[in-house]
Amino acid sequence: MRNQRRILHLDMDAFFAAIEQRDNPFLRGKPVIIGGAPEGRGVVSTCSYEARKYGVRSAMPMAQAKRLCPHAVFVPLNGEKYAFVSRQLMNLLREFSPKVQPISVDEAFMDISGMERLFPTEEALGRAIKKVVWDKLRLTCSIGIAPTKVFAKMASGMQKPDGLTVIRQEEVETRIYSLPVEDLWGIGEKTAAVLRKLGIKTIGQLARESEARLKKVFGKNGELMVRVARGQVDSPVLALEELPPEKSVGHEHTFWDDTNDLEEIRAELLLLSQKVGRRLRKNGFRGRTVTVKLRYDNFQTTTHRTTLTFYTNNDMTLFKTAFHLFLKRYESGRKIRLIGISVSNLVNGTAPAALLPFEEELLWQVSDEKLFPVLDRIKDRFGEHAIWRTTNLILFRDR
Amino acid sequence: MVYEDVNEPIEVITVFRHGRIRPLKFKWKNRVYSITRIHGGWVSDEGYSKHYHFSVSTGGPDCFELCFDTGSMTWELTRVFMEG
Repeated sequence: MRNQRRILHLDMDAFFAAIEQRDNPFLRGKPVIIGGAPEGRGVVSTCSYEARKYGVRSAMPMAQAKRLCPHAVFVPLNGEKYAFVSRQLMNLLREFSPKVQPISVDEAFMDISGMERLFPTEEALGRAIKKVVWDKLRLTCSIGIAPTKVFAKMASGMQKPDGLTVIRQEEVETRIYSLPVEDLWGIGEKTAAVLRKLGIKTIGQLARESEARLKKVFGKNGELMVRVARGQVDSPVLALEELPPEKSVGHEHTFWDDTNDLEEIRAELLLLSQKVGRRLRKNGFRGRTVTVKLRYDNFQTTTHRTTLTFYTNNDMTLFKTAFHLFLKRYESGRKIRLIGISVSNLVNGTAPAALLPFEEELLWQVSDEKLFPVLDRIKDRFGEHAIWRTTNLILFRDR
Repeated sequence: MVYEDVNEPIEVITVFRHGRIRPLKFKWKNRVYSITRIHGGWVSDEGYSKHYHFSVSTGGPDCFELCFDTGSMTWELTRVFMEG
């Protein structure tokens, strides 16, 4: 493996369910489904391998999961717990290499190029990582090692759960090329259908295809697809400090029941604006583009955005902008399932930043500039639920 | 339901060593339970305070979740897991 780029992909096995099974011995060996209440409208976040035998899958509506596996144990999500274990996991991986790039709460890439001096084989390295994860966290993971991120991710899925798959450069053709084209990370069902119509059914056929032909069909992405299949294109593994800064900050909320109650929607939007404002301030950002996302009861999803003439991280400015946008674009009377707000077009800095010399809105904002640091300090000290605007209380009236 | 929320204060004999916390025994409803195994642990933030959560077995049929609050320096029995 000397002088070759080698990438390791680690994927935890049924992460949330496995943590719950670890912490509650009565759940071990049973089908466990993590998500909202089984009679509710939420979806399955993840489920144990015992539940997967009954056809339960992530993102499936809970009601459907309950029908498929009525005797499953339904466990509510505990995001704080999973985030903590995820941080433990990433810290363990960084003991092996500083080049660790988390891609989700339970998945990470690691650049292991040049580590041949530390471990006799890549299999030995993979086993060492699996052992540390088991010893420290009592959880299993699956690992794939290959020349590119895309192939490493595919490899980690080949022997789940608790698997270890190593694909050397010279094995790519024999082990990857015969797989169906939709197995290539990044190719969805729609793209795969078009590729099949073009006579491209396997990754190998895609790799041997002319870039120009696919460019005609898919544009630049067509060219890229071919090069990814050949293992010629791959992004670097970025350590934490190398990751690009956040492009947007947002929060969204799914209502317990679909609603067209403007008072409730307004209160929720205010709460979301406060969360976004606080996150912006915590990270030292201000933003200028406010986007409101609406999902109606028939799952039709729309986004509406506006760009301010100044940068802000003021909760009330965000709320006023978002609510105004909402009222302008909301199809009155229709029930809403989900609402979200995000702020993009971010700049660093804590001082108000106007693009024009005079902004009426900015003058209004100044009065709040003293309030938010105080609210932030109260929340820092006593927790996120320590202080509320009275408008938020409406959200608790039926809970 | 395979657990029951309890949220009652308890007394715990604890080892604090090398920046780590390890509960050994706890007293709940006048009965002393010796911890035979810690299945897992996690930490959550509540403002400046940290909450250390432990899932433990005591050799009996049940399993417990304990929580230590660094703000009040108190322990709580948060829930009892049982055969569901």
